[in-house]
Amino acid sequence: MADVGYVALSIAFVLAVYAAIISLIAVRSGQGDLWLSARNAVWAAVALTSVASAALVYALVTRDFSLRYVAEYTSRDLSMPLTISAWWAGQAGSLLLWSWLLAVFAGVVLIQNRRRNKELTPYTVAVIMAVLAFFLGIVIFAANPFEKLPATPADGLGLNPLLQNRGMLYHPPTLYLGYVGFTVPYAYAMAALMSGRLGNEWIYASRRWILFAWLFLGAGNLLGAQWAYTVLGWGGFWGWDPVENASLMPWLTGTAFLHSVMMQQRRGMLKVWNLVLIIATFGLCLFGTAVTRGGILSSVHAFSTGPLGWALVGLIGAVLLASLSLLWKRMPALRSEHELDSLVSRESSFLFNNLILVGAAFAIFWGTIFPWLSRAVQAGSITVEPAFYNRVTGPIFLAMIVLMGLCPLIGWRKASRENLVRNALVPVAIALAVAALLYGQGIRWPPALLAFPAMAFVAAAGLQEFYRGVRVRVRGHHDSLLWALPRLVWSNKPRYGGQIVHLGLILIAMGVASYFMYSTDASGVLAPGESLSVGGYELTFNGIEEHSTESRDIVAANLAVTRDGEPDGTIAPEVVLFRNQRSVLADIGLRSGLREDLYVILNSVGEDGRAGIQAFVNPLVTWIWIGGGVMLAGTAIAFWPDRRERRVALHLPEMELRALEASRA
Amino acid sequence: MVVFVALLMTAAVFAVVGYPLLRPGRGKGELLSSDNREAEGLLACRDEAHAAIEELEFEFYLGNLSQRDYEELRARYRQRAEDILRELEAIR
Repeated sequence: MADVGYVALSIAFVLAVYAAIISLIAVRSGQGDLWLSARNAVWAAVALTSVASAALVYALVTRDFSLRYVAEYTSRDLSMPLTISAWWAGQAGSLLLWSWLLAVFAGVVLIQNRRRNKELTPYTVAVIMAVLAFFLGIVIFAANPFEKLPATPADGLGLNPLLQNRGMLYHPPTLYLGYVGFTVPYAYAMAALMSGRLGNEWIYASRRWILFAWLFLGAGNLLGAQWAYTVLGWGGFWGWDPVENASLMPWLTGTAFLHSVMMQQRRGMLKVWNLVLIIATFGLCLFGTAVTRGGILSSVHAFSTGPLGWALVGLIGAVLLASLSLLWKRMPALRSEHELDSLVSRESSFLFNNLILVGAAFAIFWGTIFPWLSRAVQAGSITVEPAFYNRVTGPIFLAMIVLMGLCPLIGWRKASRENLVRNALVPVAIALAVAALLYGQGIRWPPALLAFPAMAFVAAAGLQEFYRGVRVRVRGHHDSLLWALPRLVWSNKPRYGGQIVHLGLILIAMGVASYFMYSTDASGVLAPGESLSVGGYELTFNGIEEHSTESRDIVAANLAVTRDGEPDGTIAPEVVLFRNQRSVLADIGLRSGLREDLYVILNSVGEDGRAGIQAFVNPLVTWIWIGGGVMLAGTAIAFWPDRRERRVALHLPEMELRALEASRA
Repeated sequence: MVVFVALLMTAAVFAVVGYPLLRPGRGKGELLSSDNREAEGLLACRDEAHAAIEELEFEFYLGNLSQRDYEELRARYRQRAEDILRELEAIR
């Protein structure tokens, strides 16, 4: 079966090269039969990469330790779900996943464009298949998941203990869907440049792909944060690690792109900027893959090392060179149709939003590559501490939050003073009320007095947008109050889906800001009967409990919890010894609530029965995950086909063009 | 066995990919002609102008646009839609 997988991959590689070249020749020469042949090659590549993926999964679940990949990432005691997840645990398997997803996406692009975008699609497919050929080439020639060992071991080495939890089942694939997904809008952008169809067609054609990739990248970041919070056991969820940064940067530039395309759609502005943004976003997705799967930067999350990362860096260079050359060539045809009419307009707020997002991405990029640059020019490496990122990005994100609230209050083109005052009155009043409330509660720290009122301002502005929309529907469409809200959202899904995403982001910002500003911790080495106090809690150490499973030895510290003097159950942080891997992992004790999390780590166990305990009280962290759910719901609404979009995107090419042809005849 | 499966896969791929080339003519109309290319662009512009007018009306009723700006912009988008319709008629 493994040999079949390798043969399937090799044929798929040839097909990807064939489809990339023949699609271009077909569209340039107008030969429909060639295009049909290229399309069939895409479908054959989809089938063969699926065969190869199935062959690897089969080898994993049957524990075929004759394959190096299976022996290195699984063992007989590993549960079946985690055994399947070993597909993306290592470099070779995850690059195969990249390739398979990309091949499937190429097939979806073909299905979506059966009757439309007939000129853009062959170029789009050519770009996707060229990228696929690169990844398949790596898998075949440098990171072969079907490589055999000289002798078959009785058992495998097993999965890295850090990966042995349910986060492994969904976090990496979610992130991959985002990384790979951005290939499609990038391919549409290149198709626009190659074909010379520089209007908005490529944006309409790729809009849902952008949302898809953006959603999964964002969800992947949040799931990664949750994984770090519950598994890495250091009390936080974001450590500004290179791998975390690598997945945040394309999300930031992708967010900028989602906003700036609206200016192109409505006012014919920022055409060059939009192309630059999507090129940068795709480049950053490749950079993320190089960091995670190529190990070009050291990170606690980078599970692969080796020279492949530099092949990916080479691809990034080639992508940037080719894309920017094309862009330069088309520059004269990409002039803006309008200019900014006023600094106080929705256009300028989008522009500022773009500058802030790209500025944040640049600051993070600089901090991420700086240790590597410093190593390249001197003997030692200069480490960039999390404090750098917090200091630099804190004010940037605060400005972004304020703009998020301002944007819906300002009209397109030029906001009149009376409109602006009328629209901003209630949100500003609510923000001031929140500031006064916080001040009254004894909060004097300026960042807190700025951040939380700013969030209240955004939430109020967003809710006001819904209220006014409902009012228009009740008055103008005579909707009942009950139906006005769902009908409003359904009547303009991109707009109101986006507003719901903003509300989700505010919940996330509230959780993040509360954590960074008001998290408290305490630590100590406790003998049985001794206590530790932290943030209104008292933890009394009852003693150590030990037990073993088939592959693990577990040591737990039993702690009685009292909150404000009242007994509140027990919590038991653990230390787990993975016997196969001979490694130790702290398994935290976590009690989550809407108000705060009690987070306890067992750091050490002494022979005298004393335990080293570290405890955190992290306020409002649960709202980060709730905000993620709200964002997901908002993006799903925005993703849903919209009446306007359907009309614009489908614009009846078949029927209307046939009518045109008939009238000419 | 592996050699047989490899040969089978290769033969199947040749058949699928080569079929449109061995039976020419089936791909007619799969790529745009230059006339249709122009018409497709105009249809897209027309629909964009209609969508912009709808958006504009909603912004006005929400109170985000002044009466003067609303009327000026609506007139501009309507003019654009009419120009496109005229160009489409000319192609017909």
